[in-house]
Amino acid sequence: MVTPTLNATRFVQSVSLTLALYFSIIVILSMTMIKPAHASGNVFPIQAPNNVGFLPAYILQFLSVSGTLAEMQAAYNAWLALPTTVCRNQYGPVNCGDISPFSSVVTGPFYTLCPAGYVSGGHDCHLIYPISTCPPHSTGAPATNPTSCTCDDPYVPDPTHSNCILDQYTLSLRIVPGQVEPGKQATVIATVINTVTQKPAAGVAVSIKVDVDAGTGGHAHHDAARPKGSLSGGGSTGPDGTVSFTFMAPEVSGTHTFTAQCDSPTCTNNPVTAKIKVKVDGLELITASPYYALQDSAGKVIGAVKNKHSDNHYLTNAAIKKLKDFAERYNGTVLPGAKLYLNDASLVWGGLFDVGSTPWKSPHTAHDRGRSIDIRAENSGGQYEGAVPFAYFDDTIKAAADAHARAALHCQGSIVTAVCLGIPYNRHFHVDF
Amino acid sequence: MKTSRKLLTGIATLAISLHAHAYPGESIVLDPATGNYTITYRGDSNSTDLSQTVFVPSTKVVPSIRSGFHLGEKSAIVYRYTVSNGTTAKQAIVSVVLDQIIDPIVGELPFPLDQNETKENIDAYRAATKAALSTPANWYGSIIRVTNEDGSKLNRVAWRPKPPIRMGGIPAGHTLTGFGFSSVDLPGVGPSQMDGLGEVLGFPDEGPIESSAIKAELDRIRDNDFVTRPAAVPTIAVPVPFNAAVLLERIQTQMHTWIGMKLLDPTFSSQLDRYFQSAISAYRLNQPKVGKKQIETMRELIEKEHQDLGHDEEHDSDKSQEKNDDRQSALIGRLAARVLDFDLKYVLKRMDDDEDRGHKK
Repeated sequence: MVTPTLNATRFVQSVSLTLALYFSIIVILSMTMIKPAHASGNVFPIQAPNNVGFLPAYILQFLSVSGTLAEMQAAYNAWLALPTTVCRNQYGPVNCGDISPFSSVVTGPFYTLCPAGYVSGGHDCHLIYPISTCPPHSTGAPATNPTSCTCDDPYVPDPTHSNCILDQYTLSLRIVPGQVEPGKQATVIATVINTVTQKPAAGVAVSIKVDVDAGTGGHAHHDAARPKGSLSGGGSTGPDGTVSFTFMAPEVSGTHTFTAQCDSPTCTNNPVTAKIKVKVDGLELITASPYYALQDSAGKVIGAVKNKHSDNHYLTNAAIKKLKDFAERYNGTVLPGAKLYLNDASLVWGGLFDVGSTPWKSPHTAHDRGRSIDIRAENSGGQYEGAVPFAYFDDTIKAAADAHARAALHCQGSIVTAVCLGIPYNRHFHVDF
Repeated sequence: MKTSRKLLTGIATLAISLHAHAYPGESIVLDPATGNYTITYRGDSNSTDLSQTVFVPSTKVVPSIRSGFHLGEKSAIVYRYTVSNGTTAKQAIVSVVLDQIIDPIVGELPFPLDQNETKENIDAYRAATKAALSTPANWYGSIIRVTNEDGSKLNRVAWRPKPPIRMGGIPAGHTLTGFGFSSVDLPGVGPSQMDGLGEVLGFPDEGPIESSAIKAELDRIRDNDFVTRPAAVPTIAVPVPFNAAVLLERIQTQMHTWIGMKLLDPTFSSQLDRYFQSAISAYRLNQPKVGKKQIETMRELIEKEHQDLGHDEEHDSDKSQEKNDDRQSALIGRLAARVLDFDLKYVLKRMDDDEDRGHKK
């Protein structure tokens, strides 16, 4: 037996040339291989991992390698580093599909094992195609060593076409308009997107509910009976991936939260929330002025009710200007030096002002849009400070008219007379601007 | 008579019901005998119970107003008004209001708002208002300039008896003079509003529901709770620098509004229009003599309809003056004639003044 000697330089050159040759072959094969059509249901087959083995001596002879066991193992490892998709026999690269048994077996210090890509046939090593399998939830064609894999229903290929996964959906909400007045409508649009394809998903059933956030809209009180508005419409998404709901806002202002979810199939980001403000726009706080009083002599905000409505002095800008005109007339001419004592106007976001004993119900009619205010008038209910005296009721009404406002008396539970005589325990002027 | 009253009442009720989309049972019924309105309404949207109250309007006056105007110092026009209440009036007149005064009157200060709401500014504002308005004894005047929600502006001058208002006013059969102010704007003809003293309107609850048609109708009634009479009101702005053609156009535009007020015959208006157009063209072409001739012709046409128009200015506060603004010719009312004659004469005067200044240079 000829003992091979290791010529390092020639070995490196030889291996380099071989590597270059095999790389070229790989490239050519890759270009000529019929790739599986990656339609929506197809994924790439998985290639078999490397097996570790030893190279028979004649392979080493083919590679012109000789030397110690360590050197031969190094050469073998280099051979192992070659892509496993490359098929070869003792003569070199061959087209995969060829089965070329080795004709001899070398014994001695070399083990006889089949290298990667070979299957043992006893004394022979048989070349085989690169081993491939299909990812889970897919079916291969052909069944053995498939060249294409199709995802099983209802699975679909992931974006890299390496695995089969269940369809995933993402839900989003959009509200049009983003803010709505009490008693008016808004549209809630739910959109479902197929997360994998990024395309609209049709036929997805979406459900939605609405709730109101406690403490919003100027109402410090809260209970389960607080109106939340109503929702109608809905169903399943259409071809554009959307389904619409109509929200009818309640008369009570506040922040409302919509919570939506995909029911069938589910969405990965279930549930999704979005908020809308139910409010009257353009209301401003009535600021302090020498023309009127917002607080009584004890510093208490007139009309404010702790833990219920403590912020009750909001009007539109135009109404505030008229109010000041009216108040100046009262202060300057009707009752010089006296001020109008301002009770309830509107809440910070307007809407129904449930001043009565039953929450969320009227009365306090007309105090919802920032164009009305109550002013103290002489009464028997104990709110004397700053009340307009009975003798000046006419003058006060005319002063309001000069400022293009309408003043009239309101007196809950009183006898029906022109000036609310009888039991005017809460008699006050109601002024509309 | 009773049948006709019932018919009128029924018609009033029916008209309101048809016009309004009221809740069942709601109505506003006018009683022709008293002139008062009975309002039946729902005071609470959560209840079908009906409430009722009576609105006594402030229109039970029989007003007349006489307008005087003359050129004062520094090219300001002095306006003066005399108000009378007819003998058949059931209420005293307690307000005299002039609307549509666009520009500030002479001496007016802006209403102090926001950061300007200081005692000094408020006192100055009130003093200026008092000085700017001519006011009869025991009355007070005010100037209101506000902007409505829709952006429209409200400008008015108002006079009222000093409080308590029930103690004052112009009773039936009486006359009061001394209302007035000065303005740099020329007079046009606009509505004056006068009202009496009804009853204080009260509701035994919170009043009609805001969204109710009854509320809307009642608001309309209250917003028109006065009697109007035409008066000379400063509505024509004099262009600065002075431009005769532009001013004539503005006068012509104002004149056209008198047709709807039944103060000017449309045919006569068309006749005047021809002279207006000629005058405007002449001044634009720098032909003042031609323009002057057109204006003088218009004045002659007006003089044919109403004589001695100039006397009204000299004796505008003369109670014995027999002439009054209510006399109407077939073609143009006397007040409209006086106003138009004054405005045209103003244009001539300004052109003469300019010509004199040009000669002095």
